[in-house]
Formats: sequence, structure tokens, C-alpha cells
Amino acid sequence: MTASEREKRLRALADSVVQMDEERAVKESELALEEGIPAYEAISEGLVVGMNEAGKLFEEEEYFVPELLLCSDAMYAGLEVLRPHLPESGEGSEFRLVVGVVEGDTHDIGKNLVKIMVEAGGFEVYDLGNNVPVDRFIETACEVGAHIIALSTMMTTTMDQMPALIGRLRERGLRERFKVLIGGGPISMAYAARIGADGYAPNAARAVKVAKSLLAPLPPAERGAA
Amino acid sequence: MVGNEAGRAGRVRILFQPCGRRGWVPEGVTVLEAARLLGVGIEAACSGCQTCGKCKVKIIEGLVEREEILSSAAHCLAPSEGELECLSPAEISSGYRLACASVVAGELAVFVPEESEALAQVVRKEPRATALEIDSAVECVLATIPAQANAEEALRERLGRARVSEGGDPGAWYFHDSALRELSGKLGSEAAQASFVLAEGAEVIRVDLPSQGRRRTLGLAVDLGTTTVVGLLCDLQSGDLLAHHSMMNPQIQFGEDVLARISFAAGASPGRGEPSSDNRVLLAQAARNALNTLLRETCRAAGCHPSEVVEVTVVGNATMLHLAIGLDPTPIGRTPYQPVVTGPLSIYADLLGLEMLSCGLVHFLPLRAGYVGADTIAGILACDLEDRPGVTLFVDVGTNGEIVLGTPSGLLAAACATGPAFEGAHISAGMRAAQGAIERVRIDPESWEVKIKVIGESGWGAGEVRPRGICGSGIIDAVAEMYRCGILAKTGSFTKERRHPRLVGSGAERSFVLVDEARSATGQAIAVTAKDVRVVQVGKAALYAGAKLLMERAGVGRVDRILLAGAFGSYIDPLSALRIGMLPDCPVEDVVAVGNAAGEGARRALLDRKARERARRLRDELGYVELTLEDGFTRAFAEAMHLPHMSERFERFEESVSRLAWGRQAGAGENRVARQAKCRARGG
Repeated sequence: MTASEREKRLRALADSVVQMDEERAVKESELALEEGIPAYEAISEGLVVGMNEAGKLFEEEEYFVPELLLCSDAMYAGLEVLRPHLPESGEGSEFRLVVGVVEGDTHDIGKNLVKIMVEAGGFEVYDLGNNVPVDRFIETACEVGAHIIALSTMMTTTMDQMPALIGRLRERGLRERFKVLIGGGPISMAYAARIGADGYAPNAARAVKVAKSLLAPLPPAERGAA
Repeated sequence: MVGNEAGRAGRVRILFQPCGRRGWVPEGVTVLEAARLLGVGIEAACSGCQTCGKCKVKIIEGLVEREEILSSAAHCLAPSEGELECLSPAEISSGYRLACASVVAGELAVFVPEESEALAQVVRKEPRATALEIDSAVECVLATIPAQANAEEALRERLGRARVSEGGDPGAWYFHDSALRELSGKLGSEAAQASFVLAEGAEVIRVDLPSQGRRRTLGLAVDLGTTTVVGLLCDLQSGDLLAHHSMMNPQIQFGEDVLARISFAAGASPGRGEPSSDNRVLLAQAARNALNTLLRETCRAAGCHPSEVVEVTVVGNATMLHLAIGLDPTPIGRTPYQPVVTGPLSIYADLLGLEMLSCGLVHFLPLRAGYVGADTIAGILACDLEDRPGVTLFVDVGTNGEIVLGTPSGLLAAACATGPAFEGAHISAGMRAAQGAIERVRIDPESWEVKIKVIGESGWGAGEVRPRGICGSGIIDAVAEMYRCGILAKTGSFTKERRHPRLVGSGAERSFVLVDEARSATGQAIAVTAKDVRVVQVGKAALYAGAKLLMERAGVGRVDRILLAGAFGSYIDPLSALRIGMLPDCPVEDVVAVGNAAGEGARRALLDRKARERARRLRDELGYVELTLEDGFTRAFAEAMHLPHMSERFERFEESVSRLAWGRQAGAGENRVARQAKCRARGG
């Protein structure tokens, strides 16, 4: 298989995601395997590339929530074909992120989009759902050895859970261990700064960028440390 | 100084431009106070706290010749630090000040820029009074009070021996202290005719003697909305609507929406200084002030005295009622979004500090859930939703969207987080429905030429009022028309297939210009941006997905009619609402505006005790679905964001539109009139 054929196949995988074509994503994933493209590459250089392009379109107001969800449908359909063919390294992603909607709030569409984008961004994501108490975030983060705790809320009335979590981390001497990323309707950059969060993302596409930037300065030795 | 004549000591002349109002005001008042004294409207969202910076005015330098006013910046005391923070250096150097902070110390000419002019909101909650059977909870009973039996007989005992016209035993009634107090000294020892004002068939709250002249028994029905507060003054005996008054909810200064007010009440007030445990008191006080204003204004208009008001009914969302009563609203702000009290509650007027008959009762209608409040229950009462044949969808779009689906097997309600888009908020050029707001939009499918109707104008494009922004009904119209004309794709993104002078910017900055800079009142173009479209998509999808979910729950495939209630519901064009898929498929002529249903429901509860009984039953029997907890809601919500929907068809709507088009060729424009007449007939 020539480099250009491989290129074409990966492009087709990415396109199937950007164009929200679930069936085609499945077909292209199967073709990629048949043609000997390693599953890992088909994912990271095909499906994920497509999802990131969708994220870019989202930021440009070209795509919106429904498109992003349909793109993710296509991506997950492809992943289902490819995942069984990943080598049994036992090792997940090197970055782990815990995400959830804070206690008191049950609006989770924004959080669901963040999960999709961050997963496409190569993170291993632990989704705690909505109405999640501060301590559950922290316990899960400790258990899985997360690098980032990502919090979302749509309501001004539950925003105070965010500084509460940061305070709790400090109390337990864990503040340095996790980066705290926040977002949601009433949240702003200024609010993030005020409560001492490490990052703020105005939307799902940006969340994955901010998440990566938070980990960038981490020395390699500390990266997989649980 | 030119104008400082004898006999005007301590007063100075002030002129406001461009309105040209002038007059004498005491030295030492602020420019804002002076403006109020002279009836000049200046915006002051923070009520003079020097934080909002909305009341910017410019002090004119020099002699204003025709007025003979010598104005100077030095005629105002120097600005404070708080004031300077609200102004840019450029503004300071060109003479701008905050009206609320500048103290008048000499003759002034003040220019009020367009953006600082306060505009009376067109309160779109007109009452629509329908004839009712009157069975008020407060009745007037004619009584013959016997002569005093002996010098020792107490007033209470003597009243208990009265003979009354319609059944009942005065001996068993409770006579309120204040009624006795008022009567003592006025009633001689001989027998007398009187009228007992009897509340709930058990308590006499006022005793009227013929010597006191005619005293009426009036009631006030109140819709305590998050944004707008409306009061309907009624005669409790005849049921007549005597007067009505609308105003902005004064709590707005503490937070624009329900959640912001809950946060404020809890003491968390970002940017407002240190938290205060008194915040709840402030909110309660503001609500009570609003009720008192309604009492005063409606009584003034009807030519009667507030003390003649013997009962008040109040409806509103759960948070508004909690705040008015003084209950902690915090639990409503977090899942499971439970109110502290579901009511109904009756509280003596004097406990709430209301300026009416002190022992009259204020009756708060019951709530179903944290986001299905007494206003929704009142709306059901007003529309007789329980008794309608077929399937009826009731939609109340205000600051939040509440929906109720009525089927022969019962009622189901849900709250939709529509966001504030439909009130013109979070829209780049958005504004409330006030003078100068674009309320209607039509776009030519070929040329993309835009026709607008502005509030305050006599007709489409009449041009007497320059547009300054776009309100809820206008943004719905704009998005619907942009979609119809191909400016927007089904996904809500802007078309790339055509270039047009109205289509400006690129990427996330794309927008469609409705009014250019030259024609707008603000000197800035009024446009619909890509982000605005997204905000509308989210709001309309929340409503649609909620309605579909209720239909699914109730096992019905279609709705026979849709009732649009609330301020916005009355002005929205059903054609546009259906076109963008804000409502489930329905023939356009079966979507009818029902006006301020909440206010009408409050009036019914005021005049008819059976309505209160129904309200209590609804509290217990109205089905409630918490949408955010439903499986698959995210997906249904997302699919509904497309225009009009990702997969659903709107065949009955399409069919009705083509029928309408035929009709229009025959008799232009009369469909709407006919529809309104039909709606009135149904409502009454």
C-alpha cells in the first residue's frame, strides 16, 4: 500500500466523521483494517482528525450541537470496529480526565459534548454524569489517577460547587495533584480566575485545547504517574 | 449666573437635551433626581448605585443661548471614584458624567444620549376579561345588629347576636380585632343595619355602617412575573374589572432571571460586595413594594381607596412567590428543584406590609413544582385546560418556558430551559419589547430586502420610530424568515452560496444586517449574528423537545391546538414559531394567543372559590416530568435544534400555510383578524 493510498484511506475516515456518515465510518474502518492500516493509526490519524475538524467547524459557528453529536456517532461507530484490533498493551491513554456536572445541577448536554471532544483528543475520560458531589469527583480522580477534573454547570445557583471543590482539594492536600478545568453557561474566564481554577473553556471544542495546554508543561516523568 | 433670580434661592435651572425639558430644581440633588423631577427618563439599571454606568449624560459647556443657561462642568460637584470607574478616559474628557452621581451645584444643560434614555417597556400583558360566575371568597352579608342588651354586653357578643340575610351564624364567626377596633365608638347602643364583610365564610374582616358611606369590596389579582408585574383591580361583588396596571418587577435590580435572584437571596452576589443575610429581606421588600404600587395605581385609576381592597390573589413562578412571602428559595435552585412550600397560602395583608385592608387576606395560589408554578396553574384555570376536548398544548413563554399537555386522560406539565432569548436577552442587538424594538420582520425571498415593524410605529415601515434593537418576537421572525429565504441552512448556519450586501463578516462573525447604521437609532447596524441564531435554536429546541416528550408520555401523536400564553406568546407570529420548529406540528390557524393567562387565572381565583379548589386539585393531580432526568432528552433536544427539525415533518403546518396562501389571494390579510375573532370566541 502506497503512502498516498494510506493517506487517502485516512482522509476518507476523517471525512466520514466530519460528514456525519455513520455507515461510511464503519465501512471505511473495515477497509482500513483490510488494507493493513494499524487500528491505532486509523483512529488517531483518521477518526480523531475528523472529530477535531468538526470541533473547529463548531468554533466557527459552522457546526452546532446536532452536527457535533452526529459526528461523534460516526466516530464511535468507527471506533467500535477498530478498537478490538488495538494491541493488548493494557495501557490506556496517558492522560486521564474526570468530568461531570456539579451537585445540584442536572443539565448535562454541555458536559456530554466536552466528553466527546476530550475523548477524541486522546484523553481517557471518566464521566460521572450529573449532580455529582464534590467528594465523588475527588475520590474518582484519586482512584483513576486523573490529571484533570473538569466541572460543568448551567446554573448560577450551583456555581459555588466549583470553588467548593477547589477548597476541598486544598483541605486534603491534593490541590497540586489535579488541574481543575471549568465551564458552562454562567461561567466566565474572570470567574475561573477568581476561584483559582486552572482553566476555563467557553465550549466543548475549546475544552480539549485547554485540557491539553494544562498538561503541556508537565515533565514527562510525571505524566503517567497515578 | 443668569438664571439665579430672587425668590428662587437654593434652586437652579436645568435643561435636558434633546427632549428640551427644563425647570428649577433644588441645589444638591443629583442630575438623575433632577431628571425625575422634570419627567425626563434616564436609564438607571442599578438604581443609582454608580455601578451599572447606564445613566451616562454629557454636561454641555457654555451658554445655551435661547434658554439663557450658562452651563459648565464646574456646576456639578467633582466626580467620585466609583463614578470615574464607570467612565472611559475619553468620556471623562468630553464631559460625560453619571447622572446618578453628579450633584447639581449650579445651572446646567445636560445632554442625554440615546443609549441612556429610559424607555418605558411596552408591557405586553393586557388583560382579557371574560365573563365569570361570581362566587368570591369574600362576601358582603347584610346584618341587623340588635340594640345593646345592657351596659356590660361586649361588642363581640352583640355582633354575634346579629340577624343576617343569608344563612350563617354570626355567633360562630370570628370577628377580626381590627374590624372590631374600627367599629367601636361608631356603633351606638340602638339597633343598626350593617354589612359584614365575610372572608372564607368564617371571618368578619370589616363591618360597614350606613353612616360610613358606600365602601366597596375590591380585590386585586396579581401576576408576579420575573420581569413584569401586573395587577387587575376587580369589584368582588359585580366581578367588574375596574383598572389594571403593569410595571417592571423591581427585583430586576438584584438579578435579571430566577436563578440570579435565588443566588442573590442566598447571599452570593458576585460583584456586589460582601454577601448579606439581608438579601432575602431586600427581595421580599421589593416584591411588596411592587404589590403596593399596584394597589395604589389601580385604585387611583379606579377612583377608590386602597383600604377598600379586601383581598388579593397572587400567582407567579415558585421563586417569585417564595421571595414575596419571604421563604428561602435556595432549594429551587438545585436538583430536585423542590419548592419549600407548595401552598396555597393565605397571609394577612398587614403581615406583608400591604397598604390595603389590614386584615384582608393575600392568597398565594399553589405550586406544582419548582419550575411549574402558580402562574402555570393559573394559566390552566384561565384556559379551562381540564375540560377541553382533544389534545391541547399550553405554552407559556416568559423568562422560562412552561408547557402543559392536556389530553382526555389528564394533564402533564414540564419546564423548558428556553433561556432568555425570547425576551430579547443574550441576542447581540436584543432588547426588551419597548419603543424602538423591531417586533416583526419580513424578508423578500428573491431580493432579500427586509421589511420591519418597530414598536411605536403606526404600521410596517412607517418610519416614525427609528429601530434601536430587536425583541423576542422580532428575533423569532428574523430567524424564520432567514430560513425561509435560504439565508440560513437547516442546520442554522449561514449560506455560502450567495453573496449579498446584507450578509457581512466571516466565520463566527457572520451576520445578516436588518437595519444599517444610517437608519438605526443608535448609529450602529442592527444585525442577526451567527451566535444569535444559535441562541434561538437552543431556546426553540428546548420547547419543542419538551413538548414532544410530553406527547410521547401521554401517548398522543399530534396536538389539536396550541395555546400561546404570556407576554411573548401574545405577540409572537405563530407562522414563524411553527416555521422554525419551536412548536410541534399544528395547522397555523389552530395556534392561538390567549393573552396573560396567568393574570386571568389569578382573577378567576379572586372571583370564584371553585377556581381555588381547582388550583388545589391541580397541585396534586397535574403530572410533572423533569426533562433533564429523562433518558434520551439530550438527543431529542439536539435533533430539535435544526430548522425546523432534523427528521420530523410538519405536514399539517405546511398544508395550512398553502391553504392560507390561497385565502390571502382572495381576501388579503383578513386571516389574522378572523383567527383572533375565533380565538376570542373560544376564550370566552
